[in-house]
Amino acid sequence: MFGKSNLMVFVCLLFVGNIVSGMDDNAVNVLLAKIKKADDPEGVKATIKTQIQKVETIFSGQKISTITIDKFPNKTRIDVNMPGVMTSTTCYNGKTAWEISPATGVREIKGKELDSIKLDMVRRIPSVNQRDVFEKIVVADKLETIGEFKCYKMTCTPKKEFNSTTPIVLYYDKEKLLLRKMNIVVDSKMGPMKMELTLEDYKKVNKMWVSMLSTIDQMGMKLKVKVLEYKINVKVDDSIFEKPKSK
Amino acid sequence: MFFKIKVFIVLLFFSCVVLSAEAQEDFSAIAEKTLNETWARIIKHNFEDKSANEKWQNIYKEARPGILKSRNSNELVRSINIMIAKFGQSHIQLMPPVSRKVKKAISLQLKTRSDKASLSVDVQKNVSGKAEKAKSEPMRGKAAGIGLRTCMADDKLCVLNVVPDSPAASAGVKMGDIIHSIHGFKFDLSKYTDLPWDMMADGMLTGNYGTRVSLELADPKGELQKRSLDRKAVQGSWIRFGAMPKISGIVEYEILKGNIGYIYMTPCFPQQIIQMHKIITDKLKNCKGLIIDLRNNPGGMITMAQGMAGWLSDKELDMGKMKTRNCPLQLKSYPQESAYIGPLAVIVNGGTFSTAEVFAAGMQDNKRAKIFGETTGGKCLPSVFFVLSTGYRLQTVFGDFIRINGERIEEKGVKPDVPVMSKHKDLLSGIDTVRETARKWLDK
Repeated sequence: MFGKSNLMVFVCLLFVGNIVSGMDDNAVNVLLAKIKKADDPEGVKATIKTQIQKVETIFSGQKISTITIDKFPNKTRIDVNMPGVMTSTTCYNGKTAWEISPATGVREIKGKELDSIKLDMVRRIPSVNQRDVFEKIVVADKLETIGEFKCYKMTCTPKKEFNSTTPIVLYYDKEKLLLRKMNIVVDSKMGPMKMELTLEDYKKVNKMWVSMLSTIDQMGMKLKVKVLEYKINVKVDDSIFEKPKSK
Repeated sequence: MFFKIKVFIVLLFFSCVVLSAEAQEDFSAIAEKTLNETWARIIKHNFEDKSANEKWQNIYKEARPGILKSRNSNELVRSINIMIAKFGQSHIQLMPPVSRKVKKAISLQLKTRSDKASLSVDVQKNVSGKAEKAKSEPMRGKAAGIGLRTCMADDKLCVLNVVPDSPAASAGVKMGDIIHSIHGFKFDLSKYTDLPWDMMADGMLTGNYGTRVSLELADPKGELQKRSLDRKAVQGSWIRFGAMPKISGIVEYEILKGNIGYIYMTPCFPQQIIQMHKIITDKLKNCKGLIIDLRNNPGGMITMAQGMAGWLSDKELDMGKMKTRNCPLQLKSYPQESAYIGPLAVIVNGGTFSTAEVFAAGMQDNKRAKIFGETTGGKCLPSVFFVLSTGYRLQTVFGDFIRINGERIEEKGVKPDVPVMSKHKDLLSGIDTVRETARKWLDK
């Protein structure tokens, strides 16, 4: 019943299992505490109620500007502008999310796509503990090399309440404990899409270490995303997260 | 932060085309680098793993020595595009770093049109003759035509319609006139009968406001007349989207006999969809039926097919799948409360490509519209533009569209429910045969 090839797969899985069995939970918790402090040595994140980030990318010669406004714990709005081509806004008010574009109208975001936004929102709360988001965090024994950094590989499975069983893989460099890479599957309006995000050029902004340049690799295509501005605790009205009137 | 931008990658798909070139020093090194990067990109992104595909490898190996002998940019682009054409997939092409003058493109074409592949790649768009300084400053740089569209009728390239008060109308150009040449480029329709000559002619007639078009037409009596007309029928701003060559947009509407609304639009970019929606809402919402004319529409952003469908149906329509190497992506419409829900006809022809084909297929598969005209061009692979390290621009494919019935659009095209072709005799009587057939169906 157990053919040679099956046996080989079974042995390989055992082997792989041994490699990634990794740290015990206590050691992981210690590491998580260090990671939390690494990019926020002065504990600023606990005070962040709102944040505004302006980023810019050029893909295939096309400039794309994005402004993200977060009001924690559960409101976000993303305005994307491709000058001369189109604009698009996505907003989430803590319960419902919409995508609005003059060309394609208003679309309520539902199902897995909405779950994906909710998970993303919670995960990005500056003061959040990873243990509050992920029910299982596995750190591989073996360090992986990301660019010039030796990194911990952390495989994080979201809690059931987020309706996502796909783990997010995070890579933190061993020296500075800053996030260097992330692999994630995003549920988009067209279905699940694998993405790889590589972070670099960490600079101290608002007393925190913030990656000012990142690369998104999706379907083999890479986008360099540059942070132009990052503000915290700016007054933001709740109304900007609500559904706009349908035209 | 990463989440927000992800949707925009999938927006970057269109059809379109075009050329250009500049001479370079030390050309052999540039040629080799450009070829290497072109090949690597094509293989890396294709929706099927072609790295071990014998046919593709052989084409590449056979073409490589010749390509490396290219002495200038024109030769390099042409020879690489000839190789690409042999792969048999649409939406892959190499373009030079900087657009060359249109005149050069046409003259090159006249000299070298021995190969169908290069012809289809090279002639489209960017056209035109001597640029005249625009007299009206605010219009400078706007896209404009002479106020006519063309169609194929009985194997002749004909004038399909003439916009009132346009340069074409003022010069006495009439429906049914036969176009023999534009800028000295003679339309030899006996060769390459499957090429969308009307689409190419429409592209050649478009240019910057105030520039001049010379054309030869035969009137109903068969008398050849030379015209030199200024492009002053404004079509709006050029659509500039990243490394894609610029393209002009047109959205026109009319209320036809029997209170049937008619919209002609090209291509499928956000500006056109916004205009289409506005026209329907402001002018055509009470029409008994609506015709969307997508003849000679080269496509656009893929999400615009979903957007258009959303303005034309209040129900979510399954528009098929986009197969990529990593994952299949679902295409569904974005239904709008204010959508037009009356009877709908969509007109297509052999010059209807890409996003416009996806839209037509989706409308047909969901029985939301009846499709009139001719089978679409069947060039429907989602693609993306890259700027290579040598500055050359590469459009290459990363996906394939699959209809809800499992069929591909690429190569097959979308077959009309009601096949109908333009007739020269009808045009001479002022009747657009295809549009009239759709109108009559809606009027019943």
